[in-house]
Amino acid sequence: MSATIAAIANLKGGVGKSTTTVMLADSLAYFFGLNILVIDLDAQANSSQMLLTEQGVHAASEQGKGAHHLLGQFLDGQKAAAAPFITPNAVSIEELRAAEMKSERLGWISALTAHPQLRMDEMSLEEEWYSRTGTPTTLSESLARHFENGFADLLPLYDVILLDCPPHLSPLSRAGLALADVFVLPTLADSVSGWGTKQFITWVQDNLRADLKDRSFSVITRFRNTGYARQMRTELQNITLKDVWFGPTMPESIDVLRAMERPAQDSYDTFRGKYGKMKNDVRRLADEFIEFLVSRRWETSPQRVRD
Amino acid sequence: MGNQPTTCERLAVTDARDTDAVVALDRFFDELRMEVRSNPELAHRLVKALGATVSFESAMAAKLLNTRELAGTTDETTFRSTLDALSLAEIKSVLKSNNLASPVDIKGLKKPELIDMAYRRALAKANERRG
Repeated sequence: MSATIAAIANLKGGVGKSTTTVMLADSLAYFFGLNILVIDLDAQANSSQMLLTEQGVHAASEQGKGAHHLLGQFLDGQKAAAAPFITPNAVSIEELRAAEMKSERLGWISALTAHPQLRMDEMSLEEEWYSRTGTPTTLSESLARHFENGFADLLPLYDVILLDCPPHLSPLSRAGLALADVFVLPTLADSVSGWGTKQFITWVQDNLRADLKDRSFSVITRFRNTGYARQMRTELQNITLKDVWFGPTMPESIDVLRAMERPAQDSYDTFRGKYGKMKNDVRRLADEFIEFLVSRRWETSPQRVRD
Repeated sequence: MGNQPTTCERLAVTDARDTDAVVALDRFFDELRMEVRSNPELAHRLVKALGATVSFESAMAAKLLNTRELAGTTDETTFRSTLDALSLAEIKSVLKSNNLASPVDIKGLKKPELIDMAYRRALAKANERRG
């Protein structure tokens, strides 16, 4: 089976794109035994840090890993190949590691990490491209072709590729969006986030995917159960994101904040230990995302391998 | 004049509406902030007073300890001696509450190994926090 590429995206920052990316990676690998590749295209490198720690991200970069090298190939006019730049082990869940140690791999996570250098290289590229009368659109289209070629060898190796996109429509972000089969749209239950989500949907529908709503899975994140938030959620579901598949509402939780700060590169925790009181919410996220994929892309549902 | 409240009584009555502790404390700290801004001598005395060494029972110290701050602001010897004063269970509790280790990470480790882990990881986190 060829990997399904899911772009986790929103025009607005701070809506939980990286957190949703990591929760999906962990839960799809843990509960369904899927092989996941996280591609972090956001130079803030948040999902990379959440998976590997900040030290781990720097170590990966020093070992010649990271998405900026893929961009470097484009800058140098080289053939695209992403595989050498992937960190093969981005697992922090003890059960996944233990199974691997016994050669009984049931679910795995690898990462093409981001690094602040990614944005520097992207800016250099933009300056050079635009000085040669190129346009943002031709640049993002060329980058998308480069990425498509670079990821081609990876598609048979993974079940799901999660593209964590930056919170704006930069060339990198647009290239990532162009490659996506489906879209995960995290949003907060407030008017500003709703506005950002609406702008994003309008732009992608007009420029990339007219059928975006049919391909989208929305998640309301950091939900505080107040009257205002409930009202905003209803408006998002029934007006702004009408016809979009809604996944679970993820409550605001200190357990998630903790889960997203891995203590050290050599630290592992059980799934229950990592997500604490959020364990069932994260499980629902995986369940409903799988249900969404089966209804949109997949012929059958993968078997649950863990409870 | 017999039944008229005195000035002091009038002030007390005025303040009596502050039944909410947070409101009362907010006012108090606002006054203090204003005074500190205009009175450097008082500000200096207050800051000096805050710098006093405070001792806690080890169980309480374990709850209050911020290992990242300790690793980032003191030397290794101080860090190690601070943790060494705690029991094995307290060190494990510190590691977990400071998000420096999961129960899986610390299973079966002895006190010196736990302190090594705490120092290594707290220092790494402190370095990450630095600009």
